[in-house]
Amino acid sequence: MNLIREIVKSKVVTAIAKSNNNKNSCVICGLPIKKDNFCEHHYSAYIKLKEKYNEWAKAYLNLSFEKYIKKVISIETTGKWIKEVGEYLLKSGGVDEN
Amino acid sequence: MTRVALVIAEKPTAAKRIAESFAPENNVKEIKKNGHTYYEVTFSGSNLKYIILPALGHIFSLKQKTRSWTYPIFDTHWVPIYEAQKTKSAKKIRSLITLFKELSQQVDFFISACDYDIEGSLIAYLILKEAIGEHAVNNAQRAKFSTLTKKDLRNAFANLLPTLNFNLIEAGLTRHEVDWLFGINLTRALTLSIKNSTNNFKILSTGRVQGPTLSFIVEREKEINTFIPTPFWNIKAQVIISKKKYELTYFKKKISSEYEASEIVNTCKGKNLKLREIKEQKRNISRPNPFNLSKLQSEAYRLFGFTPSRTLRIAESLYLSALISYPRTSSEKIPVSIDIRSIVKDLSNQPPYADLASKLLSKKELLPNNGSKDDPAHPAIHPTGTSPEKELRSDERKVYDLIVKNFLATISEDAAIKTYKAIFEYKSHIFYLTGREILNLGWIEFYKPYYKLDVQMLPSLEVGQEIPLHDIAYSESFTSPPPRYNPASLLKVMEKNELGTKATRAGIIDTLYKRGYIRNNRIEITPLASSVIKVLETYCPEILSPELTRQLEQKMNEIENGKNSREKIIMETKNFLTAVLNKIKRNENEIGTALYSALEKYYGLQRDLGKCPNCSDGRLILIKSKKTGKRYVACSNYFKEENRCETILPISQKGTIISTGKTCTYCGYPVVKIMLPGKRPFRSCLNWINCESNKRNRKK
Repeated sequence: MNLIREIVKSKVVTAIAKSNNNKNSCVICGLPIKKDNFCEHHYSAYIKLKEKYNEWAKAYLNLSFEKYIKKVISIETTGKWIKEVGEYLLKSGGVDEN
Repeated sequence: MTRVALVIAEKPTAAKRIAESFAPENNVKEIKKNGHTYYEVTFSGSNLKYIILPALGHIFSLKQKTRSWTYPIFDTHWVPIYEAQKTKSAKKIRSLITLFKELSQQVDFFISACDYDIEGSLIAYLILKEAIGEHAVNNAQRAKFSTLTKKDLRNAFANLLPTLNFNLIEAGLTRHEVDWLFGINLTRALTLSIKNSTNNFKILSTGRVQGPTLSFIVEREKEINTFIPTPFWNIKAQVIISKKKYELTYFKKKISSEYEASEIVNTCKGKNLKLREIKEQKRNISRPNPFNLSKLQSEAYRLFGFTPSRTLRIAESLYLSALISYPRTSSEKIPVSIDIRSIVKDLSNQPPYADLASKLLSKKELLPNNGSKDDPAHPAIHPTGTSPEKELRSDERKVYDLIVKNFLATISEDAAIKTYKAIFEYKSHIFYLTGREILNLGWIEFYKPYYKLDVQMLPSLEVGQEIPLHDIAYSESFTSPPPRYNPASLLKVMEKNELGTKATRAGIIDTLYKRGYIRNNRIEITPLASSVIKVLETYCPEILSPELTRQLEQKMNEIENGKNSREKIIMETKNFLTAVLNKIKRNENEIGTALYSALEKYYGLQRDLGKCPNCSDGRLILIKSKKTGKRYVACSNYFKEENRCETILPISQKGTIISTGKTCTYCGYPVVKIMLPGKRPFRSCLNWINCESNKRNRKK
């Protein structure tokens, strides 16, 4: 599981870095960056999204990171920032090969 | 020789009730002068005369001594309210103050008969001190009552407290001064930071309790925005007993993996369940506590959707009609000094409550189920038993009925139920079939229709009996995000965290709506509030701290008990504000720029009413003409020289107009919500003149 997490992190961060044009603003909302090219809000959503993956993977067995993201953002009650980060990761290829 | 007292009532209705309480044995005369009504009561058989003159709520207000529009401002004094703020009733208040002065010339002593709380005490004190003179303060007595019934009022005037309650007055003076210092200084600091950094003048108001209250909403918004649901699975099973279907619940309510859920279903499908045992339990459901203000507000919101401020307004009107006791109370206790039996007896004369009241009157003892919260000034909210003199408005009737039924319920008896749990098993899998029987309806009968209790009887079963599982399946569910606050739940959070007082909380929530910081009944934070909170969090987080606000509230409460002093708290407030204001001053540029951009965005969004249906990229914008001051709606491409869009529409000149995000199904123009003062909000499409839907409505 740790290995999966490492892979996820490296892919996501690379994808974000590639697509980020303005280095000082959040790739989603344009607010100042806190870390990994996300503003404070989207960074906290990004961290939560990664943290929660283990629980979902256990619940569904063999759930890829991409499927996890797709499923999470399709649920109505999922938080707005989580959806935005999820959609961004899908669009930017941050979930490929997982 | 006749002794004359000037009695100060809080409002005209209260003055009338006080005067009428002395009739018919004594001579009560109504006198009108300079647009004001006051009463003269001449007591027969004694040399006493009362002149009862009502205030109009607060008629004095704090004002800064100097005239500059800067900060910090720490020098204040009390002035007639029309000198401090624009008010429509300036003329009336001026003549009222003159009348107080005039009538005070002919009296021997004074009586404060305003509501017995901080505000009431302060209203009378300021009239005595500022309008009449210091000598009047020292020559004043206090009438203490919790209802405006004849009995209570006569009792209060027969047992006048020898002096004013100076602790309450000090607490009131402190609270007003602290709130004034916070409000004026923070508002000016934020407004001037915008002006000095961007050269734009836009007032950005804030107050002592608004910031911490907003921070709770912001925190909840963050939780909702970063919420990821957790999946879980439920097992749903059915059995058929005596040709009737019954739902069973699996002993684990949430199964955390799909595999485990499917294993359970596959194992149990088509198998027989064996009844292991039937557990029975008797349980009491306690009677409700008598209402305090916040409990009444939360019940009125739950049942009728009334906002806390609306409930308070209605309760005040019921109090002024002598139908209920004083509503601004924290107490959940009805003390033994209140004659409950006589109230129930009086209620039995009101047809809707006659049957219920008669049932209670046959009981030997009528004891309320008092709660833990207390208020030294007033008991819990209860009906007085007095029948309404005129037909109540629909909303008044609802709140009155709720108060009466809560009162009847709290003095009745606990309800008793019996619960059954039939435990079925197949190997290690356990299923429950539950039932409930009412043994004694108790208070629930008195609180109908505001509390419902379902009854479900178990079928006839025998331990050891085997029943085939008719159906079993699993279903996927997800956990839910924390709910958004609504006005009632926000009020509860404020109460729990001691933000504001029972009298001010509802008003603070209203102010947050009015200032555009929050919207909707399921409260959402606006981008404006998010930005303001973000700026304040960065540069002066202390003014958002619920903990600091709570500590200050506690210190102010200590004044009421004589355990703290106004001077000390004002000094601490000034020191605190000086530090905060210095911080704002140091970061004026950053704060001003950030706030201005938030305001621009906010007003921009406010004006944007939706997409223009007549061009590809235009937005319909609400515009106020600089020349005429009139409002209209135009496409954002209307002012362009090339590819100009000609869309321009008339709109209501009054009220607030909000985009609904929806478009008219007839004409495709955006639908807006129009809120006119004093009228029910309504929706209309922007093309209301030509739209088919409106033409049809008009024909109807």
